[in-house]
Amino acid sequence: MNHLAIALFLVLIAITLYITYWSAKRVKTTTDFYAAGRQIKGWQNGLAIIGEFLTAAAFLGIGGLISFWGVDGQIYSITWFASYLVVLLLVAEPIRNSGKYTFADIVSYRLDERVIRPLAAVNAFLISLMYLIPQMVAAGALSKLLFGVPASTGLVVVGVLMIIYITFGGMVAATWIQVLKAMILLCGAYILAFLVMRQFHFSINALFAAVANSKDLGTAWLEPGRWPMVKTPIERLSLGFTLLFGTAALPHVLMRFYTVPTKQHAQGSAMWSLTFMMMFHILTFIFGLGAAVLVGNKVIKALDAGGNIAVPLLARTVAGGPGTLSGELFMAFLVAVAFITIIAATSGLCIAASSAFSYDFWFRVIKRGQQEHAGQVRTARLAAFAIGVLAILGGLAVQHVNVAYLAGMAFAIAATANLPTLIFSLYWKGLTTKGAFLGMLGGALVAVLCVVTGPAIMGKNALFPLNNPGIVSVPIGFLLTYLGSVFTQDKASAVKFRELAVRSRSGLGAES
Amino acid sequence: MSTAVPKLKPKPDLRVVPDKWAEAYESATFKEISRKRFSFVIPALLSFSAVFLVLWIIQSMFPAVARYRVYGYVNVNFIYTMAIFPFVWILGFLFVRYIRSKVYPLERELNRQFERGPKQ
Repeated sequence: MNHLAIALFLVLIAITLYITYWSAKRVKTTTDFYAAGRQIKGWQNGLAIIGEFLTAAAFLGIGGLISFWGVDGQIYSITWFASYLVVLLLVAEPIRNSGKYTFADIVSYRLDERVIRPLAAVNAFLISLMYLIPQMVAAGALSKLLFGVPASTGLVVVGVLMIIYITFGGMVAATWIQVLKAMILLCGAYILAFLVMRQFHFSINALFAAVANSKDLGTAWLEPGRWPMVKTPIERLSLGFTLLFGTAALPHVLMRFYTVPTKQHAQGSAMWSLTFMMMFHILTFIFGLGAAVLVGNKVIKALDAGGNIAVPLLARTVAGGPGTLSGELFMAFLVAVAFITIIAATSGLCIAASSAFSYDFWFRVIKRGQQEHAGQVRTARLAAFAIGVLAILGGLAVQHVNVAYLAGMAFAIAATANLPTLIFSLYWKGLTTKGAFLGMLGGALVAVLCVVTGPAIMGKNALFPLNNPGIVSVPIGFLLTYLGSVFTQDKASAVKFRELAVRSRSGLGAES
Repeated sequence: MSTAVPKLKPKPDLRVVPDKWAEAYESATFKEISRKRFSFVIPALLSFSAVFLVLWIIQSMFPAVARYRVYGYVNVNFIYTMAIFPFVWILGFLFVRYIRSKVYPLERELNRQFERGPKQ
């Protein structure tokens, strides 16, 4: 299996390297580097967006979660999917209409750029890096599990490939690799679901009956409330809330809407991503419950307590079983796809982090928007390279520590610190620079504090009771921004609001 | 042009000359665009939140309802969860259709009114 999986992985890598080579010739300007020259069609961007979101966590994680704990794992599927409706309704078009490359473009539009842009850039940089490092660590752990190579080797390979893609191919390569990955991932998922359901004569009830009557499982797998993480109602609400609203402020997701030519395409691409996300997420219960019945969750747990191997093992079982060519081949294919998934996801994060540094911080703040074109592209490439190296070193340093909470922290900061400023910027005239400053800085501190004093780090002695702080921290973020704005004055922001409102809602004067 | 563009009275305390953006902002066309957008987005977000809230209430407060089997082993919890997918998708689809048929024509009109582009 190892050799087959590695061979398939190498084939896919060869394709992605060719995409990078092809893209590199097309990256001449900063718009090419950060926004793929605004040439990406709606459906392509739709695939690229789901590429950003169908990480290994969605592909391997949810299946594993459901196989261990039952249908509670579906909470990730429905909220991640539905979070795109929030994006579509509130931010997709406004972002395309009124920004240039990054999240900071929107929030610093009305406000004092010298204050807000560096803060937004630091937030975007930290969020992307916090998300990136656990992905790198997961890549290492998975390569050990799936390919049988040392974790540090896997981590370095992923990091180096990410650096190559982004440094040479920028957003063009990142986009096309996401498109490729999303397509093969969807195909793989549908073949797997077909093979699983064939075992149950394409009857959901037969699959459920098998779960209910299995000696290791039972009807509890089909009912909510088994998973300890959402045992209390408030934990369940908070997890759902954070996932639903956090997505709408993730810098690497927002950045995707700049790659399309017009607002219609931005809206269309959010619709396409909604469609593709639905196509994937309606299948996750089949993977999880299928693996629990056909592979057995004790077998899965014995191999990997995290459950990430459930889906590949299920693939081998339903395609012919261990030792058969078809079984090993299909498992190898899914393993290779999972790996490409991780590399593509890390690439998207890398470009978001590098744009926060090179565009927002270096070009707009340090150089005050005065730098020649070639210089800007050079800084962007250098930043991507440096962030890649930083992510590899960071990943290697913490690979033996459980850093899964970092991703949760990234989500919490996005939802608490960035979402209020983003929404108020677009829709509330009263927002002031000081209010946004208080909301972004205070929100980030509150989010970090909640996670650091929460159960993920302090265990049973946690001062803050919730694993996911969203339900508490997001309202605090909104409140801080609101209060900070009500008690201060910002005439320029109020005047500029009219311009941003017209631009964002009507597309008048949009960057093309 | 059917929609009149009311003249903006400059507020002296702002000490800002009303520019074209302000003019566009105060125009009847733009007000209609905003009104039309919000009249979809707000009910959509409310109904969307309500659907999730009901799921949460069923799952955490009425486990007997969640467990209730409708067909074979297929229970209320599963049916409700799976129904969220088409619900959300249809809401998104209706939004895109609504914006394209009701709002984009107004936006084109606004663009015509300020066709040389507002000054930066």
